[in-house]
Amino acid sequence: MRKRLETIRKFSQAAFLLLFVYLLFAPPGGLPSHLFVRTDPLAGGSALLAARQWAASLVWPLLPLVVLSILAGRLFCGWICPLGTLVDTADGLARRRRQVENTARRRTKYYVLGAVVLAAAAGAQLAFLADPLVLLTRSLTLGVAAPLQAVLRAAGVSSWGPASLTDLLPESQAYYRESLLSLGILVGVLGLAAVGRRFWCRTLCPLGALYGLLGCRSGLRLRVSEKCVECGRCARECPTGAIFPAEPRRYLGAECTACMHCLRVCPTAAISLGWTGGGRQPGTDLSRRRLLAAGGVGLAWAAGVKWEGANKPTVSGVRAGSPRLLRPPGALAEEEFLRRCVRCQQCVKACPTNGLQPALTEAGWEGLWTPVLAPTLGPCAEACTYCGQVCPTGAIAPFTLAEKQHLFIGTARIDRSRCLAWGEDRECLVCDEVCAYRAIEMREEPGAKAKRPFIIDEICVGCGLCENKCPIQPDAAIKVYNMGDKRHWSRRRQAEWRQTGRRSDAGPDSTGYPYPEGR
Amino acid sequence: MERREFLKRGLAAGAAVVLGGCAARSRSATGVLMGGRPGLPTPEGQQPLLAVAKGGRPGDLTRRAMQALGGMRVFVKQGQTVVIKPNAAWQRTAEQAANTNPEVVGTLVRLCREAGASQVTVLEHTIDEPARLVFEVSGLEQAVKEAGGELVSANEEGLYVPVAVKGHVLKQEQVARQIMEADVFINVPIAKQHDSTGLTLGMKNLMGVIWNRGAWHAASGGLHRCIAEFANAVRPNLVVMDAWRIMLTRGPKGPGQTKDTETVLACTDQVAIDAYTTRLFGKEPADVQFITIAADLGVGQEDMSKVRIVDA
Repeated sequence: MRKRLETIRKFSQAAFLLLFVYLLFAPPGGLPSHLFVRTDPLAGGSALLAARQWAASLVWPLLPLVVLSILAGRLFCGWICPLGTLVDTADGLARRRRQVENTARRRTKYYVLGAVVLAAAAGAQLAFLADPLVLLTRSLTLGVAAPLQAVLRAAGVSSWGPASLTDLLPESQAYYRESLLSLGILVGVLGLAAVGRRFWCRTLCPLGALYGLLGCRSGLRLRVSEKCVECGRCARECPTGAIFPAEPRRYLGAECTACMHCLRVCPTAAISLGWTGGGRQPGTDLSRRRLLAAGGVGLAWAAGVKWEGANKPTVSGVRAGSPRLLRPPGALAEEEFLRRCVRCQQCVKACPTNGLQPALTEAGWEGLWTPVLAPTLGPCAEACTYCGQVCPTGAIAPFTLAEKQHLFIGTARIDRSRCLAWGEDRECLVCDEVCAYRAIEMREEPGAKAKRPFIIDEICVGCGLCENKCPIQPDAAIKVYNMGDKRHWSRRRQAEWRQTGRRSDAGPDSTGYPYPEGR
Repeated sequence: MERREFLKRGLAAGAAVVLGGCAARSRSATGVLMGGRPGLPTPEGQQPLLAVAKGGRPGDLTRRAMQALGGMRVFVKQGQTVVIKPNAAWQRTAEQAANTNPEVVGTLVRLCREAGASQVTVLEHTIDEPARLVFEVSGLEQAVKEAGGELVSANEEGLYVPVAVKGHVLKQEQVARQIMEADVFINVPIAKQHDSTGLTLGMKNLMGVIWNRGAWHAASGGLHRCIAEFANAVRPNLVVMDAWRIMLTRGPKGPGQTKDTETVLACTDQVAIDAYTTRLFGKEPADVQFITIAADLGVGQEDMSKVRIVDA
């Protein structure tokens, strides 16, 4: 049994990796696709800390893993973490299985954690850079899924696995602006296998550091019996270098991922795992000076991005450097949104029109990788509420289809010199006919043959369908700008404002939403 | 594996991929223009037959209209492939009458199946996106599935082939490959008011089988001309017009005011069926430019006195 524990762990790793991939591609409606990120104490905790929000619905999902780590230390890293599993796989493939002795470098991850926590305490997100679950979700979505879809489509495979591929990604070939960057980051993390086994996990991962800290008094300990002949094999083979080669009876509890490898390789079966009394686990001995320095880095990041944000011009109540910074409907007001969004790309992946894209520069440094709507690539579909459903931190608050009718993310504006109707007096009404909310009115103008489009600001929510379908492409004659962004208003106030919008050609009221809920 | 062996195999695999890619590309972009579709021209000296079914459920009316034309077996033979083109452009419900009634489409799929069709595909290049939400909301998904057909979207450029149009304005057009390859092509529009073209009818519905609709709006010859020239080149074998509930205002997407006229029409002559349908809106064929242009091009009969109208 003792020897089989490692095999059982590997099954556990495989099962959780499969679950992770399944959830990533599962269509909305079944199991929550944000399960891993939502239960991640680092991503969730930093979002809550940065936003100073302690909503029970967001706190309780974090508890199971917090409790697990208090009881069993970094068990998560060895048994559950899908990135850890991939790192193990890469290590197995790496030709050089060089063992790296544990050095002071292992403390780096605690400093990374320190920077993340301090930045969050100061109100800025940093977890998105290195949280393994966020990193993996983002890289698989942007960097792997889209190229994989292309390969499968080239091979003529349109459906596989739990749902048809078209349910998992945008219907047409998915395109993400930062595919290559995201793939590169994942390749980089896995490529660390060339340096040493579990190099990412033992040196850099802030989630591993958090679990190490939480589990510093965990009772789950390795025990070495009298049978030990001090051959040192366990120390040589330990993937995280937790065991001291010189004194194989001692090990760093905060580095141990309970992977059970030592139990299997011990020639005299001297090692066992069990519950022992408390006492502090060794391995969390940190340099106070460096911790302070790391916290300083986090604070500096927060100060920098907040300063940059504060200097952005304010336009009709919207603080935005880019007039095209369009957020998904349901997104909280910009300030709050940036504090909460962990950039996991769940919403980007869920967007069925491919319109949501990770921001590069639109939202400044603080908004790196946050979701923005790019109407040229895809509009915000009228009968869709996916992004609100999948957001793990509530940065995009869930919304109903009826509410979507008055969630104002922007307003369309017509470039009259290039518009076919305005500029050339031609009969074109594409923007009007596609408008899901009937926010465009075609009016007869004196001296003109063709009717001309006018936008009713109280009705236009900025979904971008008109821009997407305008015959003048790819730079449409009608475009959506965030001048009408009303996320800083309450939903009720937005609904009331919507009610004031009236078309002059009064027909049946179109404010009610006729479609069934539940999507 | 030896390095040399590895390189050899790698090169071979790479070459296979590249050549395969070239083959796949050449299938779609050879530049070879396909001819259009001839449709079913009215025999010389005869008048086109227009079946008009009034009063009842959409499905029953569809069956009655088809019976009046001699049954679906006249159009679909054993083992043939059928493509049905409804109007399913919009994320709107069946009640709002912006898309072809799902009962009409479902009944047609069933009739084709009963006539022995090997495959019945319902195809639309939706305007609203994503297509799957359009199909779900419109009720077509369920209706087509239950009837034993396949509902597909043609929302990707790779699904189109170049077709010669030979018009004054349109020389060639990217048309959905499945439309061109099917044995039988049935156009199933819904009759609606349209803010730009006045009414949207059968010939206008063919805009949903081409790739670049925007170009028609921007074309110097005008939208009506493009519609008529295309209808001349790519003719359906049969047009079944859903006028069960017609939209009177705010077309084509609505929601607008609607009227239940409880009518389904069927005809092989695209112009005749469009011309007749204008009456349901209290209009004349001449009120809709593309009908007149199409009649001039010889697509069909605009003059209602020269059409055999049978009540079904």
